Amino acid sequence: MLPRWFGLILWLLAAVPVTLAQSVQVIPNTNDLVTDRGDLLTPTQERALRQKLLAYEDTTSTQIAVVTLPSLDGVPASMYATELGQQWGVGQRGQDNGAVLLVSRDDREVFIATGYGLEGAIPDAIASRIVRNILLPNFRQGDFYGGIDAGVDALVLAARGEFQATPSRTPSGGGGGDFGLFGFILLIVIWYFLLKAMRKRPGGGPGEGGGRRHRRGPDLTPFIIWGSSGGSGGWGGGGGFGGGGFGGFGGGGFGGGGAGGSW
Amino acid sequence: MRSKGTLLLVVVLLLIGFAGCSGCGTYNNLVTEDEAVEQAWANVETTYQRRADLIPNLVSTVRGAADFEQETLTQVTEARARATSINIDADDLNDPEQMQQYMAAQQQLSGALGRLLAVAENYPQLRATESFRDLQVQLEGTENRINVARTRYNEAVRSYNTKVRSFPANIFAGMFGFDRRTPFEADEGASQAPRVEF
Repeated sequence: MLPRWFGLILWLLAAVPVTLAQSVQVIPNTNDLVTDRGDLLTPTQERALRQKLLAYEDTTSTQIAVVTLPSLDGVPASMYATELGQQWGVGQRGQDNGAVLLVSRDDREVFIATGYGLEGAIPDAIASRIVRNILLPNFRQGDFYGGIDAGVDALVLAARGEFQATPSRTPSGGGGGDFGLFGFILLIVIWYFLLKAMRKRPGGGPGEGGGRRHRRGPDLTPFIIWGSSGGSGGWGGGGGFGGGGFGGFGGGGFGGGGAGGSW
Repeated sequence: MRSKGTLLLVVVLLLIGFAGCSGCGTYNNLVTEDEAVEQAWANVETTYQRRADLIPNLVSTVRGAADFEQETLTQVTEARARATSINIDADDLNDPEQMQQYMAAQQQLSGALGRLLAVAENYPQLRATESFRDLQVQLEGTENRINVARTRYNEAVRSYNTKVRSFPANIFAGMFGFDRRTPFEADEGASQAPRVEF
């Protein structure tokens, strides 16, 4: 009993630094291009926006995620939007062609975060102009949908040409480590010789052989698990039903690009 | 008797194989983590370089648009020269002193830039120009990128240091010369992007 308690304590101690290491806590991935936690849009508007973003993603593979929040809880909007884009993986892996349009209701702040791959097409100055000239004037009049919709249009215009239509997400191949395979084969070879050596003693020794044979079953399992651990699991993206569904964010990276403002 | 000897030999081989395998695995893990730290550091340097590259443009814009305070401009130019003269090789990342120097120079530049932007508040005709606005936005974006790069570097270093110091990796780390790496110290002000009002 004592060791189990001890283990739990150790585990808790180990878990603390991990949670601290996470620089910014963002809301969990909704796997949706429109996430209206700030309740700034009506369901109809959400649907229209989602459709537009989905159509854009289908033709260009560029993903624009619109996220509204009630509050940022003191986190700078730029940090939050960047971390959210990174942790959700908005955009395609390798192309990093994602953008996050973050609106915080109570902070009255907005930020457009651009993925690494969009920084060229939508430099910070352009993002800033979109925020200043399109989003903020609309938001000041309370027209959130109008602002977001026009802002998305402007983003699409700015990004046009930068990314040609690409085949949709390719599953990231499980790049199994060479060592995993090598170790596995090595163990099988050793295991083979071990079995062979044991078989050479018919009937088994007095007690000794029998004991070893008993241990054989449980011993085999860790080897197999161990050997296969080198291969990493592939991407488990769920395909949409009925066609045209959103398949999830593709794993794009964000490095702090973009611009924001407050209304 | 002979078979018992064989069995013993196989068991010994098995043990050696185990130790070797876990050694290889640990070593490879350390190499991966080490590479991640170096990659993160390269990103940090790139973002700082990006900021340094913006400054000549900023200085000439400011100088051209208004009869600007010379002292502030000189300070920025000098701080930039000092900051770009210090570079840290990936091999020196375990040297806290060099890291300190690098950070001090970069912080000085942050301070000089902050002053320049503060003084610019007094020049409405300068702030009204589109090119200055764009530069301000770019500068702000660069500070954001610096923040992100620093945070990720610290995360990579934390993960790497934890691995280097924990058992049994510390044995292999000592054997193959994997030293601890220096994270960024938190500093007030530098982590704050310059506030730009429109």
